[in-house]
Amino acid sequence: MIELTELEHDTISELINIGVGRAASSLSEMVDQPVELTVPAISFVERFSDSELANAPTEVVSAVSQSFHGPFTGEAMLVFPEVRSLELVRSLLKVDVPLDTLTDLEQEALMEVGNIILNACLGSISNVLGEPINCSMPTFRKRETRALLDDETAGGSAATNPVLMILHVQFMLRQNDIDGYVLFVMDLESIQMLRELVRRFLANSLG
Amino acid sequence: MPNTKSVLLVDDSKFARLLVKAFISSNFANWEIDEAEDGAKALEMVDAKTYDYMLVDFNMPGMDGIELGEKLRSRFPGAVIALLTANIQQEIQNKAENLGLDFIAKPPTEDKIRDYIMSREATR
Repeated sequence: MIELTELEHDTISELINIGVGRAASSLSEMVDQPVELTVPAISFVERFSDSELANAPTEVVSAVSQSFHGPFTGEAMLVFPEVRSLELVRSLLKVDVPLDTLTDLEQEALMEVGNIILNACLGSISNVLGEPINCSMPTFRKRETRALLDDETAGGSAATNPVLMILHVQFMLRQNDIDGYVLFVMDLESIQMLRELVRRFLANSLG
Repeated sequence: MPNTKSVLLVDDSKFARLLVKAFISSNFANWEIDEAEDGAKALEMVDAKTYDYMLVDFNMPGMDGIELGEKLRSRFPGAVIALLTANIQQEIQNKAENLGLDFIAKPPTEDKIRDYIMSREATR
């Protein structure tokens, strides 16, 4: 499908690591507790349902999504189980608000968290590669995992280039028993451009 | 901090405005804090009132924070204007600096907002 050399694979993983590391630091600042991260996993699939992430297809998740445009395009998502989302909002708020207000604020709060996390990821990658990346406004969706990418913006050109690169990093807030993951979805053309930029970055870095 | 100052928060996220407002209020009790959800509203508000501090998000519907910051800077050369944003890209930071805008990376925390205002107050 897509052949990456070991060095290219490592470099993309490291780029995501840097981005997600920055994002974890932002999240940790917001909730005042450590955030644990898994090592980024890269996989290529033709359909999202083929990925390991779709193992619990009927689980309802909350997802904040931002499409990004630059030398490569795609969609970045912050996803976590819907049942824990109010708990996350409670952890984020440093001021006391009544439960009604908390519920009203849920979507607003999660979108702002998504905005901060996803921009931290994409901004770090942009800074390392030296290529500007524009992000759209965040959007919010709450749905079953199997329908996570059923959206015209999600993996938009997948119909013509049916390859999705899924970069998956899980984060955990142990004190609140909250976990979730960050997902990057790109099509074949963008994957090839990312690989090209990584090659150039390696060539410059290694002299 | 006895003097009352005025602050304009410009952010499309109600949640972000709520947090920053709470952080400022708890440290600078008498300060006036107004909110605008986008650049157009912010420009209307500065027609009616002069602000000591303007904290502006970058990624907003309509005008982005750099476009708004440029308009605000040309109208209020001496005001303290900061881009308060999750977009940490170097290009955005450079643009902010070139316009004479401070740069504060989100997430906003109480320490970060208090320390920023204290440092600005010390130089005024």
